[in-house]
Amino acid sequence: MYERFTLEGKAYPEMGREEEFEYITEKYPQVPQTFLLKTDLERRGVSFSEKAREALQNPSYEHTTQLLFQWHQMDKTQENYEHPLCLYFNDGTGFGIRLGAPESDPWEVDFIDGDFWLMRGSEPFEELSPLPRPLHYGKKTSSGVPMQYIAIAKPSDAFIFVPYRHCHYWNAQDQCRFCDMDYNTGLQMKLGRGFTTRSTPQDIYETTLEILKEEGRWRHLCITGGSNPREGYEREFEFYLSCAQAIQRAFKEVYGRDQIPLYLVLSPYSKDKLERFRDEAGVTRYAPNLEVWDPEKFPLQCPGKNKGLGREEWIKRMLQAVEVFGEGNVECAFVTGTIMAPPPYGYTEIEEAVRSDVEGIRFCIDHHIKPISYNWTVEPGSYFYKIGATQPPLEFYVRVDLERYRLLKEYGVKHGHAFPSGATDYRCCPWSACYDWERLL
Amino acid sequence: MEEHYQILAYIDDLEEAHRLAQESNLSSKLVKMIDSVRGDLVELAPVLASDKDYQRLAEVVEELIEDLIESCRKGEEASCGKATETLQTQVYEMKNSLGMEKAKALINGNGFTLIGTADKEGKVDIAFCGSATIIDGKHVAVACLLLSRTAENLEANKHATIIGSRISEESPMDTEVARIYCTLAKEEAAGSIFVMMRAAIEKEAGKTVADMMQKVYLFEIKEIRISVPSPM
Repeated sequence: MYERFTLEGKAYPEMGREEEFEYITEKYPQVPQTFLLKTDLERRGVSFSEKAREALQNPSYEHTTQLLFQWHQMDKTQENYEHPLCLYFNDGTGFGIRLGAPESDPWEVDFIDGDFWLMRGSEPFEELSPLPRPLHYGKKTSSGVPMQYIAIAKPSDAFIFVPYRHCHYWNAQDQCRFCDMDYNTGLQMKLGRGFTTRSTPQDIYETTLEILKEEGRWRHLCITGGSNPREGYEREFEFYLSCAQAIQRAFKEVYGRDQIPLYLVLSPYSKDKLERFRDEAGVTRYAPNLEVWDPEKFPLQCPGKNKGLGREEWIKRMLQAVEVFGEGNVECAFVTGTIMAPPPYGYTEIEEAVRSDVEGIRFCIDHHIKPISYNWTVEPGSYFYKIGATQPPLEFYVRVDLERYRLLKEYGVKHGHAFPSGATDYRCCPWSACYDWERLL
Repeated sequence: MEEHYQILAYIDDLEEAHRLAQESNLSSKLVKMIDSVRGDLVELAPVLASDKDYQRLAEVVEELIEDLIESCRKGEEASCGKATETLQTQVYEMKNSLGMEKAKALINGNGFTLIGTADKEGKVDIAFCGSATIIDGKHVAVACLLLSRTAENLEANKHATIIGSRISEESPMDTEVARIYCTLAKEEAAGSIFVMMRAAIEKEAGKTVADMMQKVYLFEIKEIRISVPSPM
């Protein structure tokens, strides 16, 4: 699996799942087991036993819809079964379900004596729990759209709205090289069920009202989706503003508040537009994800973003976002792992790749931007899938996580307080252990 | 051919036009027309088979969609209507013309082709019609042979749907399907089409069966819908 990777100039040993997990556990004993499992689960994916699949069909569980990406290493089209977005270990660490391709040697989830278990060989290893189904699932908006196609649980205390499921970067084949958004949208349209590229603000408003009825379930609301760089991102901005205002309208009706726990994962608009989000829609947090820090690799991996704004402008606007929303209320996500995509897109040497990613993390922390990870999955339809890219070793992810943790601790010492972190938390980030590490600060 | 996702942008633009039309309080008739064009684009996507097809599509829709969005934004019902009508005609024609070759491949000579008809009360019947043959860009012929309920229904209701498929046992996503929505135009008991159909049946099933054929139904094709494996 890793013959092309090196560590300190030496070929990285090729290891199976068990051997690699054992090796990393021994080499990095400071990493909590569930964090390590989560990281490897995002990387290798999971498979379900027949019993687990059957048990997961229980309608009281949260079953996700593939609104934004497939998330999986293979098309989920041939087997018609439901599964949650996320499963939780008993310590509250949750991992996103990514169906693993056989060549990734995925972990298996089984159902034994009424409980879900992550298996190690034929032995139960860690107990797992799904979450209850959100109350708005199964309901429809007045225009007839199922509400789980408007907002999905992400998963224990956040809801994510994906009102725009097409990204214009794909039109000219300038999509981010790890992304499968339009492929997924095309696939979902083909599967029928009335899948559309957009949600309307009215549908968003009605869905928000339903979500807010479930008190205690939500702490954050999020909007994300595709980009539309036409007319200087003007159309994109106008559309997303109307979506954010729809959420604010519902919030105001229920709680009488203007400022809402809504964070946006969108392009970095100009400062005046960010202020409009804050002032006209009550948005409190922002995440203009750069995706890839490395100055050489960014244009190769994110050609659309590079042509649309360019890396320097992107970063400049990230900093302006901090001025608008405040320290700790701006996040920047990196798709951790793609820095080890096949050359020229990434590096083969683990040291070099870690150094590059950590540089980005350090920059963010120094500028009061919270650096987070969405760990890479090689998804069908993405450019990297087509060129046969494979995941970096588990050790790469562990080293990035440990460095981020160290830098966040340093921040606390330097400033006399922890990193001001208000955007999201470990309960709602199933795709990397970065938030889980914050629990140890 | 490289994979194209531009059609998603057109579909998306029509969804945006829908939103803007509603915001501008334009008529529900217009909004429905916009939705109809969007639906045809979704169905057109899988039959776009070459870079040339995509180029043609861009020439046909790009400017019109931009005009439509602009008019919707300004709330101009008349110009929206004009742009939508032209789009509707162009996309519909393109869907049918590009779907024709695939439909021929899936229907002509396929012993498992089916015909669906309905009586005057709307009760539906489905029957095998392995003789169904698309004979030109506008017509499909079906031999009146062992189709008693179909014949009864066609006397009361001239509309029919013919469906030909190639089932993939490996994956339902690889199954190919062509549906032809058509209307009975005429019946022929003699003439060149009758002779052609009779000869084909004789070749396939023998003279005794061919002698049972009394007439040929000639349907006018109204719409073609294709479902084939494709990224879109």
